[in-house]
Amino acid sequence: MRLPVRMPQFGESAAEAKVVAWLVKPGQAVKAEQELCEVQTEKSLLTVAAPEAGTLGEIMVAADGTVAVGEILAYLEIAGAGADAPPSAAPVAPSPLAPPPSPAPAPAAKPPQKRSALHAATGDAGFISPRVRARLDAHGLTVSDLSVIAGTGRDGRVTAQDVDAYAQGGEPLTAVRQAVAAAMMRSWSRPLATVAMPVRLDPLLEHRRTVTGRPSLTVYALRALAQAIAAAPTPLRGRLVGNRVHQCAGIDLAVAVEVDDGVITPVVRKVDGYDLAALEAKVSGVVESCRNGRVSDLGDAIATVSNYGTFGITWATPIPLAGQAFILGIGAPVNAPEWDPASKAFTRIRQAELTLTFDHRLADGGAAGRLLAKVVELLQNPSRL
Amino acid sequence: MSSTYIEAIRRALGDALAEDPRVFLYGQDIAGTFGGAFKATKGLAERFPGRVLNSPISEDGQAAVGIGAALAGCRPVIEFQFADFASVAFNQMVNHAATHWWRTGVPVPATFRLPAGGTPGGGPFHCQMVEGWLTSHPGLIVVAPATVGDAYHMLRDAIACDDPVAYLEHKHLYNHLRIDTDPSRAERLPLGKAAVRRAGRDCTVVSWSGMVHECLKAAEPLAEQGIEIEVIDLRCLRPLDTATVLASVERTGRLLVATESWPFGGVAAELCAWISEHGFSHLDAPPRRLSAQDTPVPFHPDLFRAHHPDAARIAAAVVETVEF
Repeated sequence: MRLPVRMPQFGESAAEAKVVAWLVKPGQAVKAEQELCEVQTEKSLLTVAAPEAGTLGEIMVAADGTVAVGEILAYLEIAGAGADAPPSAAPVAPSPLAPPPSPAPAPAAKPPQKRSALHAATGDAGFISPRVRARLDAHGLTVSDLSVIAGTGRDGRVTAQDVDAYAQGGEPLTAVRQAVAAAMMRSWSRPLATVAMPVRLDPLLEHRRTVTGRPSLTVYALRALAQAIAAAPTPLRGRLVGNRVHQCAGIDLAVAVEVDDGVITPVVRKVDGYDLAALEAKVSGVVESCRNGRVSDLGDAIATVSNYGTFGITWATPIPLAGQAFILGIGAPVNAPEWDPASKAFTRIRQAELTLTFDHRLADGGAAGRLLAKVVELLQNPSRL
Repeated sequence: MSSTYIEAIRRALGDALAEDPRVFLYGQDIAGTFGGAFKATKGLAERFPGRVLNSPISEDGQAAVGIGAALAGCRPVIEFQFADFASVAFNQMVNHAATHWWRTGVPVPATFRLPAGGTPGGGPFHCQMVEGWLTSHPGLIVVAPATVGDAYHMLRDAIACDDPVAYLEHKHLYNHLRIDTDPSRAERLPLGKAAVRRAGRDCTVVSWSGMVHECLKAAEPLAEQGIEIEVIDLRCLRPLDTATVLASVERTGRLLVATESWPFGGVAAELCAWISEHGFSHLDAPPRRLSAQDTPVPFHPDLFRAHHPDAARIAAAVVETVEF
């Protein structure tokens, strides 16, 4: 009797696997549960075992071949009467994770299957009723989320109740986090790239003592960015809408401000119109309002400045807001050695990494790098700010 | 006081005659002591002399006289011996009664009583469920009571209604359905509202008239299998209470419509189409119709049973829908 050995369903999501090697040759006798071949899924290397003792017959999928779940890998010749008849009660596949028995040939007790071979091979887990689809939409889930839900319906189908139970577990996201999550997903759908450059801070730290209000590093960065944008045209001033670039009229920049359970990004309009002292006063006021729960302006801006260095982070790639082409990040200042050609020795300087994460559809690394270099140059020459 | 379905109809006719002098009955063999083919009017001619009138054997003429009387301010109740023969009055009902208010602004408050539905041995001309023809026409109200209480109240409401009403009374229920209380005290729902006769979570099963009882019969063995059906009695077929059906399908995700009428067109097809259009995102399985066979109604009782949906066939269709 000839028994098909099928590709079992390993785990919940793999739909196919690659045969790495056959461990047994055709004609060779095998014991029940003896390993027949190795298969590689996306996640792991696994073995397929013989469902019964017998002799390995024809191999249907050679090494390096790809096999779908439920497809026949090889045939096993086992002792017993009748050709091609299935065993009456023996499982077709060896693993407890195996798919339901395939309909062809179907065990006598099973009612005739009405579905296609594909459905039969994978169970009916692939069927999504309109109601289940609507439940997924209502919970903000996608079809790909179904693979982690254990279906309780017919043949492992996921039911609307399964979706509800899965979606209603855990704790609800706060409103602020939901807003951040939605904004980040919108932004993440773009190709983003990051460029970075160190900035020497000693001149700036010296300079800020001379300015009223002792402006923060964020204020210096805002001022330098505004001047860099004003000084030379950059494609990153625009914002891509479909296949058209919308230009921001004024040099409006946002500041990332941490609040309870999230980040908000109030906008300072016409940053180039403020000197450092005035900008420090303006930004302090805006940040203070945000922390008191009052935000005056969350509208459009060219970009955001994020001083993630205040958390001790030296380098990061924050995601720009969906309506903005880039975000300028400021790392935490650190001590760094700098070669002094005059004294032929390393001297200690204060240094921070600046990062610029940008929408790669609008600009390339060159344009982003030039903008960042200009910001660095201005910050290292604070008298020009 | 107890009452059968036919007694509730007789009671409603008597009460309407007693309360409203505009009401009169017009039908074949209803005056005198005969009391009509199914005895719905028995005794009423003696109680209300001159208001229970015999017509010639012409449904067309009966309907025309009724429409004329309604236009003149009366509330006629036209009795056809069998719903099958309402086809002879079809032009009067759908072209004249149903359109008159829309054409002239003058209402036609006529009630047409149609003894409908199948009984074994009735054959092709005495068993038809004719709502499929009548519900296609805007302007005609079509009702089909399934309970003794509804037989009473819906006939009273039909007579009181300013629109023409086709009142489909099920012949099998006439003497097979009885309640031990006064039908006039039974619960009264407004015309146009469906009733949930049994609540269930797994499948919405919609029917009307005699088939409601087959659905309720099917519910018991299904419950033993762990399948709880929600049985909705439409009561009124035009207008159709789609809101009640949709609300139920939102809960169950599944719809079966059982009818002893034919599959092509008709109320079951309309309801399945409506739910597919407006309730698609609530469905776990395709809406399904269970209808009579698509042939004329056969005469022999064995063939009649094969032609007609029953509790067993309803249960089987529910299982298929639930296991889709």
